[in-house]
Formats: sequence, C-alpha cells, structure tokens
Amino acid sequence: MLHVELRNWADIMVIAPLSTNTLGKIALGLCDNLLTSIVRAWDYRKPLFVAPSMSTCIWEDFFTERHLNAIDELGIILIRPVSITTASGEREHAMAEPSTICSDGVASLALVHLYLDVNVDAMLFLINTHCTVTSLGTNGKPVSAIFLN
Amino acid sequence: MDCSDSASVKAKSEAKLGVPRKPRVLLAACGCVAAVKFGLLCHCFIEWADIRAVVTQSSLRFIDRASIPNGVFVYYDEYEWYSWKRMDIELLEWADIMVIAPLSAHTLAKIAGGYCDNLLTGTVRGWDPRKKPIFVAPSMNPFMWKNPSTEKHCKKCIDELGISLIPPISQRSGEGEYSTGAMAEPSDISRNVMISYSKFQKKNVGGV
Repeated sequence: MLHVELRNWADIMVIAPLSTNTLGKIALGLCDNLLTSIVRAWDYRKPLFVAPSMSTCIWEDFFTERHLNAIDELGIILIRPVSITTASGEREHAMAEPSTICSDGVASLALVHLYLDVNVDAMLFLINTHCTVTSLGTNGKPVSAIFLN
Repeated sequence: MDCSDSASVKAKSEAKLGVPRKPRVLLAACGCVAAVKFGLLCHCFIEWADIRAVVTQSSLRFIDRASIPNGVFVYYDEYEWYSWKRMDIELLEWADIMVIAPLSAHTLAKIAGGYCDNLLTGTVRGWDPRKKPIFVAPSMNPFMWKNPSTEKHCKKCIDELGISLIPPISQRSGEGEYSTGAMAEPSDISRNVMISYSKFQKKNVGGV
C-alpha cells in the first residue's frame, strides 16, 4: 500500500499549503485520500509540519481553533500563516514563506531532539521548485522528506 | 413489489401466527481489503439469522457479488431514497442487530464524529445501541491501528455511543513480524454476535 510505503520511507513530512478542509479531516482522523491516509498512519516520533492557508474569517473560526487544538494533541507542528491583505482588499491568512517553513522545520527538529543532518539549501530549493517527493542528505546520512502541496 | 416490501409482509404474517422469528441482522461493509471476506461473513450469519447487507461505494472494489448468498438483499448508496422511502430509517426499523465488518479507519472516524454522508453512516447515526446492539470489527493496517486517533475514536464509540468492539487480530506480516490490525475471522464475529445478542435479550427480558 502506497501510503504505508511513503510513511515508512519518510523521516519528515511537510504539508504546505494545508487547506481548511484537510485540516478538518486530519483533526477528525478521516483518511479518504493518499495524503490523509499517510497522516492517519504517521509515526509521531517523526516530525510532521503543516503550513495552513485560508481566509481570515475561517482562520478565526471556532472550528479552526478546535481543529488546531486536535492536531496539536497529535503532535503535529504548526507553521503559522501570515496575515495579508489581497489586492481586492480582503484579509487572508496566507501560507508562510517557503524559507520560513524551511527554517521553522529545521529549528523544530532541534526542539524535538531529533538529530538529522539536513542540507538546508537543498530543502529550500526543493520546496521552491515544488518537488513532490524527494530524498535529502549530506555526509552520507540519508534523510527523506515528503512535500505534499 | 421490491424485496424489502415482500420481506416485511412475510414478517407481519409470521408475527400474527406467533411464529418465533430469527434475529434480523444488518451486515455492513466498508472499503478495505478485508471486505473480500464479506461473502463468507454473510454465509456465517445466515445460519442463524435473517440478513440484509449495506455496502459503501468503496467496498464494491473488494466484494464479489457472487459470493453473497442468494436471497440476501444488498443495499448501495443509491438506495438511500428508494421508492420515496428513507432507506436508512427502513433498515433501522427492520434490524435487531447491526454488524459493521470490516470497519475501515475512515468510517470509524466518521462514526466517532457523527458524520452521515452515506447509507451506512446514516443508519448508524440513527441507531440507538441501548435498544438494539451494534457491533464493529475494525480492519486497518497496524500503523493506523496504533495511531493515537484510533484509540480516541474507539473510546468515543465504545464509551459514549455504546458500540461493541470486536477487536482486530494479530497476523504475521510478509517480514515475519506479528502485528495487530486485521479483521477478526468471520466465524468468530458471527459467534461473538450470537452469544452477545442472546445475553442482551436475556438482560432486556429480565429488566422488564
């Protein structure tokens, strides 16, 4: 099963952007597609990062707060969205910058006491080029990551 | 006249004659690999019960229609509003027992969260486990079974909703390791339900 293979293969998982709908699915444990099935089978000794993106009215909604609490209980690491105003004057909580996602990820790895020899430049490059599944590593120590967007 | 109508007419005539009827079991299947055993499960139950089956759209990938015993009416999601009747309500009223085997991780989450977006979950949503027992036999890969979400959902289903859990069994994987997550054997599910239902009946008769 592909979701089990990917779950076993990866050392890190990053979901960026994370939609409101998928946030709800993860919080409630639904697993009706490949992405949510990987999360549902995830081993939380390995870090899982999410970078949500949604409109401000949804971000400030009661359900979003409840869902964020639920994913926090699971041990998912939240990379907070940034508040912006669109050209049409609407307020959005946009996905954090790829560079922020990357640096937050590396900093969080240190926080969870997980020693991984990650090539930061490679991670940045891979996020910016929208690579879906990739393998990273330096000094002969392989590190796997899944980027789902 | 459709199958469900003829069955209800037969049941009413038997009730008038005072004929003791078999327990009515509503068997349900979700979309996971263990659904290949659904035909076998039907055969195990038909020995001691009247059965009807409810299957989800995704379970149809695994169920061989030919393996289901003759005379067992199978309800799909398209039947939700069958001949202008709410089929989930019809099935609720007809059944004495409901058994969901296999129960997928996804449908487990739906039941725990109160979702009712198909015929199966709609029937569960209206079910009262204090009056009629409902059994679930989960089936999922070991990683999903060990995931913290599963524990939370099972706790919700058992403690709050009153659903009876038939736990998954340990099986040897290709690598030679034993891990839990596979659906219990159909014969064991059938026996478990039969024993539990007879206890449930005695308790309810004794309580009156």
